[in-house]
Amino acid sequence: MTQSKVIRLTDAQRDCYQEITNVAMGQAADRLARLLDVYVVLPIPKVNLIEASELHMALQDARGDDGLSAVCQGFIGSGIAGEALLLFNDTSVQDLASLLNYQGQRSPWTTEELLMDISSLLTGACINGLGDQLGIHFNQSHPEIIGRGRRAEELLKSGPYPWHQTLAIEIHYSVEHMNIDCTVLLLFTEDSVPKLNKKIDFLLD
Amino acid sequence: MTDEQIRLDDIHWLMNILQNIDVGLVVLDQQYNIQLWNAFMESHSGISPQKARGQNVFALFPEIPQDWLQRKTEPVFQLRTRTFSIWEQRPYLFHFKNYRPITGQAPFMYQNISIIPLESVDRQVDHICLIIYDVTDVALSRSSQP
Repeated sequence: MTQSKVIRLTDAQRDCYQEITNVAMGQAADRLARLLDVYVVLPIPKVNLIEASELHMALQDARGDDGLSAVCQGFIGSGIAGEALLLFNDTSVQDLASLLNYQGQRSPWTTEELLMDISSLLTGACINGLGDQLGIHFNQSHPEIIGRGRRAEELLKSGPYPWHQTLAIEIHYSVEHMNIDCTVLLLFTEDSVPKLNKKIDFLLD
Repeated sequence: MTDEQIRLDDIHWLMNILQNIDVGLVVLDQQYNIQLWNAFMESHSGISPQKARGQNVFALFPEIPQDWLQRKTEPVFQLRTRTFSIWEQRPYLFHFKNYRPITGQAPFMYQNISIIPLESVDRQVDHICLIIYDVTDVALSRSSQP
C-alpha cells in the first residue's frame, strides 16, 4: 500500500475555499429562504483539514447538542468526490415541519421526508454552487438518513477509516426569529483535495 | 458532411441507449404532461410512448398522489434543484410488477426516484425528468435482515 502524502492548504487556498463556499452557500440559503419564505442567516464557513481520528471530535465541535438527526448524501464529479452531512437538531425539525405543513394538505410531510428534502436542497445548492465556480458538474446520490435523535459523536461508526485526511467545509444555517438551525459538513476525500487545490490555484492566478 | 454523419450516429446511439437502459425515464412539462416515455416505462406499464405522450401523468396514473408529487417537483422547476424519493419513504411511484414475477418475493417493484431539472436553450426550466430506479433487490435484502 502506498503511504499517502500529507495534504496541506496555504492561507491563500483556505481563503479561496472560504470565498467560493460563501457564494455557494448564499445560493443555497436563497433557495431555502424561497422554499420556506423566511430569512436565512449565514455566518462565515469554516475550512479545515481533518485527520480520520479527529472526525468525531469535529462533529462534536460542529454540533454539541443532543437529539441530532443526520442525513448523508454522496457527490462526485470530475474525479472529485465527497459526502455532504447535514445535521439538524430535533426541535429544528419540528419547527420546520410546522412551517411546511400548512392546513388542508392531504398528505403532511413526514419527518424523514422533510429531512431528506431539505438535505437535497441544501446539499444540491451548495455543491452545484461550488461546481459552477470550479467548472465541475457534480452528480448527487440519493439521501440517506444515518441517525435520528443521537449525539453528534454517535452518528458515525468509529474508525478505522480507509483514509487519513479529509477536507471539511462546515456551514451553519439558521432561520431568523425561529428555532431552526442546521449544519452542513462537506467532506472531500483525500485524493480529491490535490485536484481541488489545482482548480483553486487556477482561480487564484 | 462527415461531421453531420457523426452527429446523426450519436443521436442514433443515444436513442438506442435511452430505449435499452434499465432505468425509467419520464419527461414532464409544467402541466405534468408526459413528453418522453422510454422503453423501460413502456415495458413495465404496458403503455406505449405514443399513447403516453401528451397525456397528463395524473390522468394516466390516478393512483399517484398529486399533492405529494407536486411538492417534490415544484422545487425542481422553481429552484433548479434535484429532489429525491427513496423506497423507504415511498415504496414506489408507479405501481409496476416485480421484475422477477415468478421466483421473486416482492409484490411490486420498489423504486428510488430522482427528479432533475431540464434546462432549455433559453436557460428556463420548463421540463423535468423523473428517473426511476428499480431497487427491489435492495429493499428485499434489507427487510430480510433481522
